[in-house]
Amino acid sequence: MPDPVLTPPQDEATRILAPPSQGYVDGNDNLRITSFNSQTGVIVTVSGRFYDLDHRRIQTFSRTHTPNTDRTVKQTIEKLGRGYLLNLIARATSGAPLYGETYVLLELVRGETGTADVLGVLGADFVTLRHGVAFPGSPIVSPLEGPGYCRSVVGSTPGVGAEIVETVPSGARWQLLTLATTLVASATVATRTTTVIIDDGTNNLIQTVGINQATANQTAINYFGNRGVQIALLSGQNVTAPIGADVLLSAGARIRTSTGSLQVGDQYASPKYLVREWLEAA
Amino acid sequence: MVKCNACGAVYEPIGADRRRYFHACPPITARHITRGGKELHIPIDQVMPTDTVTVLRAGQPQPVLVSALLPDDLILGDTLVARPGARNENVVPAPVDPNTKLPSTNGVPIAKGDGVTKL
Repeated sequence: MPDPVLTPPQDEATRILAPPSQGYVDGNDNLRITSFNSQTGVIVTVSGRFYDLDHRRIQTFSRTHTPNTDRTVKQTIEKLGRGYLLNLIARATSGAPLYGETYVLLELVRGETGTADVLGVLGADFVTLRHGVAFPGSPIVSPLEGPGYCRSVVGSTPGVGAEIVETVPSGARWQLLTLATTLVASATVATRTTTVIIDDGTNNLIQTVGINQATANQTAINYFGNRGVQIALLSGQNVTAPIGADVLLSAGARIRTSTGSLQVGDQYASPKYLVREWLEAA
Repeated sequence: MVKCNACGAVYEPIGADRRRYFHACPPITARHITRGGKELHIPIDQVMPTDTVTVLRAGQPQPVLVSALLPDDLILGDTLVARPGARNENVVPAPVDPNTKLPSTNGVPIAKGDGVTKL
């Protein structure tokens, strides 16, 4: 096999020298598709055109790649053959992910297994049904660039007498924007105070003040907000309180309540919270 | 909808936004009490009316029988203890495919704990 740089490949029929191209592959180079995804039902399709030197014609190709749904990495390797990679595009063709949910990295590698050597990055960005990663042309985008994806989460309804605990999922980075909690106190007398603690899984990082005063048979709703929210009594035992701005949380961090005088019959409703999410793609 | 067998929490494994939800059990709240002259930390579901707890009443901490709590009392000294059989559905990466050496499947839960019951 002649060196494509020192001796540009020559079309046997026309005897015309092909121009130097970064898209030249000699049969040992393959396309590696890497994805990180948080949406269910997503299928990514990689399509393109390839000038096949062995058959001296332009071939089209299309490969499907089904990302994992838990933000862990998924990789597949596709053989390219000998010729020129003219262009390709990766985009979602199923599952309707929004921008920020499905990240795709396209690389040129040598080898067909996980130990393949990376020779070049062809493209990297989030994909949707209408937004793709194209080669050539698309900028290489980090998964942590941009506004992220705003997600409204309904958490677990805790068991009776249990606190709220919500964890940042593996592979995600969150910015906590708002949090709403509702505590229905049992008939047992004592004053319950809901505070919110954010920890890294072990160590407490911040704790809000305990401000609501729910006693027996009362319901207390707390709204915790990000920028500009102050402690204020809305009505009854319902209050707003600040949680601090730019609360960025890595995987494993927890958003939880710590309730003074919690009783065995007390019941928290499922917490509702708004987060901005990025994929770590690590 | 499923119910966690360890903590009793109820949740949807896939939310309305079609994203998976990963449940993790909360720890158990343990109360500092005095029972029969002994100081103990016990789960709140084991606290008895004859136990004594320390409360903040009129700004001052003082011992009070559980059966004699007043609406404005704030109980002091609660701590958290690990929950037996706790479940943590958050994942660690799955082992790579032995043939291709490529990561190819979803991760595995950190702790399955006592499992869940489908509702």
